[in-house]
Amino acid sequence: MSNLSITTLCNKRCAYCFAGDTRHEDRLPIFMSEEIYAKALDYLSLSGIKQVRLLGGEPTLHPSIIPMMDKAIKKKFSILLFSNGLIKKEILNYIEKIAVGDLTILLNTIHPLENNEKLAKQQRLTMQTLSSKVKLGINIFNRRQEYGYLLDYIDKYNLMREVRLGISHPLLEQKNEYLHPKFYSYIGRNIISFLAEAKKRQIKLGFDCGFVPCMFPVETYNLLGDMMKNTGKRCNPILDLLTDGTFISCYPLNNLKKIKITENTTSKNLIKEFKAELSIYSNYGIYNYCTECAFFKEKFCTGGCTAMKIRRLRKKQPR
Amino acid sequence: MIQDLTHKKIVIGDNVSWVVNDNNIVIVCKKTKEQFIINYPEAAIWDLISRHSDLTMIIKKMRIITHKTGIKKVDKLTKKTIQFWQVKKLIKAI
Repeated sequence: MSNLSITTLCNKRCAYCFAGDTRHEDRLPIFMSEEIYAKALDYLSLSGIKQVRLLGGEPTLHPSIIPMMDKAIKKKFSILLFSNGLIKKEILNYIEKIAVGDLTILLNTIHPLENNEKLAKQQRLTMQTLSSKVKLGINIFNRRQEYGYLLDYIDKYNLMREVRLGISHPLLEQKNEYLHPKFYSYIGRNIISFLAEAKKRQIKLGFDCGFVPCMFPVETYNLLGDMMKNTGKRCNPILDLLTDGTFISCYPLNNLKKIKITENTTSKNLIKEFKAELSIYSNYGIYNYCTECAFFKEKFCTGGCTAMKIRRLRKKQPR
Repeated sequence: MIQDLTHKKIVIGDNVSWVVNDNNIVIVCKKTKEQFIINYPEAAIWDLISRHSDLTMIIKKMRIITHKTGIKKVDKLTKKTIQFWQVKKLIKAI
């Protein structure tokens, strides 16, 4: 798995945005060049990865998004487009014509509480137009968030019957809204209610990184079923390629280590290098009791998000 | 080189950070990419250093904290631990 961040531009300002560090103060080129994109496709082929995952910013704001998607499809990749759904008509029409199976849009919805009818309307148009190509996602950054509306959208617009749940993680150098681990068990209980409702409607849930088993009540592990399998182990290098052709382990850890793409780069080598870099944070977790937890001791859980672990580190205090 | 730390202030080294857990302290050195897991009673020594105690004070407090162990044993443990951390550049005297 690798994500190609093809632009730093975005037409939405999400408080939890994990790409904030890279979008700030012109640190990176706004758009990924054709040359780097070509290298990125070669890297994916060399690594045996069959999916091009495009993200940003908002990837559809890249002026060459259509030729870029064309190129990927011609090379027999499937496309996963991470989008906020605020997509120009011309691009929407292009995506509509792509065969189902060749492209999926992972759409982070505008929460009804955001109260932005103009954007919500545009997003609804995207869901209506692309229906079965759209998978809904949500980043949980606030314990007051509700998720029930996602299930209604899926039924109403005939979307993919799966929801991806993500937790917002902290950036190391900038402020963003993120979910503090002290709220995890509260969120865990909310997710269980949501899961019960989703199951009734035959909608699957999937977890992104950072979820930990202890956020769910033990008696609900059966209900979670396969979702529990890797729940505590999902903090691995994701491998995000930035617009300037450098790889980072993931957005929240973008300041730790960067590796330039070359013609010999493979995901296997990158993972090895990033894992070595992150290994110094492997002996503790996001809570002070992680080191005593059976899940952690038995390696069923790695202790949560590394960015969150790094935030726990204390440094020398001035005298 | 091991400095004589008697009557000197001991501080945490550069590039060193740590996390306090319920049952241990994990120390991370970004420069050398090493990590150390310190259990108690050594973790108490680290805690005292992080609170800017000098060696005399650390030994005094360690005698109280580990009151069940013989004084000589405590002093030896404290000095040996501090020496090891000094070699590993986790702490330094100022």
